[in-house]
Amino acid sequence: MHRDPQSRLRNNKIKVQWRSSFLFTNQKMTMNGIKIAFISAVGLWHTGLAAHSTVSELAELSLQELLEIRVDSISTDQASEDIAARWNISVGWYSQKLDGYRRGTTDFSIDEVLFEPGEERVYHNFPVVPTVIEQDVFTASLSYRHSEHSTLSLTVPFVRQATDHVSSVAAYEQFMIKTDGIGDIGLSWRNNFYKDEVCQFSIGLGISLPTGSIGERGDTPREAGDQQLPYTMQLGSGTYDLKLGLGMSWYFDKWTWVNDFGYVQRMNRNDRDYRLGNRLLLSTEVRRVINRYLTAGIGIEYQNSADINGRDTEIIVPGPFPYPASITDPGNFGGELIRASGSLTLRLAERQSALITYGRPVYQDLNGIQPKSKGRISVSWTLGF
Amino acid sequence: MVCLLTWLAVSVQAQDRAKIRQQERDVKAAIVFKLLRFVEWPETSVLQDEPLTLCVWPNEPYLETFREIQGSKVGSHSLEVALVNPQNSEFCHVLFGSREMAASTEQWRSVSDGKSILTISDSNDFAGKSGMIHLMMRDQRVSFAVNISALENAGLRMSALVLNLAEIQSANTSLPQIQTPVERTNEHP
Repeated sequence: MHRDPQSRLRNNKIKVQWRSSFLFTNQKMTMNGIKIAFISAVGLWHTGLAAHSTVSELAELSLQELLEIRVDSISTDQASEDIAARWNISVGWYSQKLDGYRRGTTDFSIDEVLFEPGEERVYHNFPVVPTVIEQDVFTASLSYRHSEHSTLSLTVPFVRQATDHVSSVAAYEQFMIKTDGIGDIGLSWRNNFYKDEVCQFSIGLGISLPTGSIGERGDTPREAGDQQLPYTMQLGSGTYDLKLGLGMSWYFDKWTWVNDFGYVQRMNRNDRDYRLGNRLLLSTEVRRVINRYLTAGIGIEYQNSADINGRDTEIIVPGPFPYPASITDPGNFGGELIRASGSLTLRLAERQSALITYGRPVYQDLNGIQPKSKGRISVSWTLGF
Repeated sequence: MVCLLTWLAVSVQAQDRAKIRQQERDVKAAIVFKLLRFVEWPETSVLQDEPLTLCVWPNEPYLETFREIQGSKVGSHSLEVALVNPQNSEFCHVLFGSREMAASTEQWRSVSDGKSILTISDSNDFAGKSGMIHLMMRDQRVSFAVNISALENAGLRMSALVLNLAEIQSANTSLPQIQTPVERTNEHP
């Protein structure tokens, strides 16, 4: 007759506990004894969750009995990362939309921003107004885990942008400008410098190379033919940008709390004599494993970016108001943004997963007057091998 | 009060997690120990009454767990636990590497190729990658798969009694790697 191996081990433990309580009774339990018993009971309730036996005790069981023991493996989260693949390829799509205007925390309508002949021209109205800006970035990444804790990654983005405009310039009342091409290629290194049963800390260092064009041209009302386009329509920063990241994750059963810090430092000015603003990013996200195929998360992130330093003199016009559109003024960039987001991670197959994230700003305090950020969606697929 | 309760909850969760992980290690280590009794090494590899040496990589999280059963009898041999050194692995009869160690196929081969060393791991699809015994989780129980040709190539034999308990199944899937903090800042413009 086969005996349940867990109950066999448990019975041994119960015998020991019963003997202890019997001894307690014989010694006429005092008030302190009651307290100790209560604390012990709480402790036993807690430690009883695992009904833990030592390896020496387990080694006394037969192989068949050992194979029947229920083990609450942690393979759903942290342990899975322990067996992460050496190589990972990933493709992704990220899309964001900017629509409407805001200065600081005050919203402005398109009519308020558009300068019409006969109105007073001031610093916050313009003869050309982008109405909707759509940016899509397709990424291809390859990462290599060269040691237990360190991973090198290469990311190549393809950027596609389209901006709808209205203007008070004859023949350009409504027009659209599109640009597309390779963006700034990123190289990064990540090191999980501390990892234990409940938390993991990582540091990331990276650089983005100025491979994206900053000389995109198109037809604008500024003059006839193609001209240099504003900053938002360019495909790259034009500078070598250093990136620093810190990641801290805590694991509680099926829950994971992920905290990230990121900073982008732009180096010098580019060939067009400007540099985009440095950027700080802080984010926190709580994820829960729903089942072996699905993990859901909600999070919030804070972004702070500076305005543009220097300016591209080819996109300004002569006169007291040199900026024909808000996006040609280097002061109308950057600010603070808080975004709430939700994510779903789908495990599609062996070492193959998809991540879907949707975020929406809940607070924006923008420098100058500039288009407001709307929803942002990203989808990525990763394969490890 | 809220901080205290939060701290208490976090600390309880952390303890539970560590316990669960240790329990998994204990069960797997005990299974490894039991499996050794059913393996036959060539007579020249381990002499009668000589210790049977189980080698692990330096920093192996299972090291202390195995040390708890060091000295236990495996047939006529007593179990010894030692750290592996690729330059000098002649004394190893068993090589165990956990998934936490994530040793590469080259590292395994550098130690075990051409020798009668039993290789065991709980890394993904270990038996399918020329490893000999792959420990895996199935329905919250530990099961194992055996790569018989790898065993035979090393001159080892395993009892048919144990092979009846072995099974082959696909390894656990893994979650994607955590997004690199740097990558999260890689937005445009």
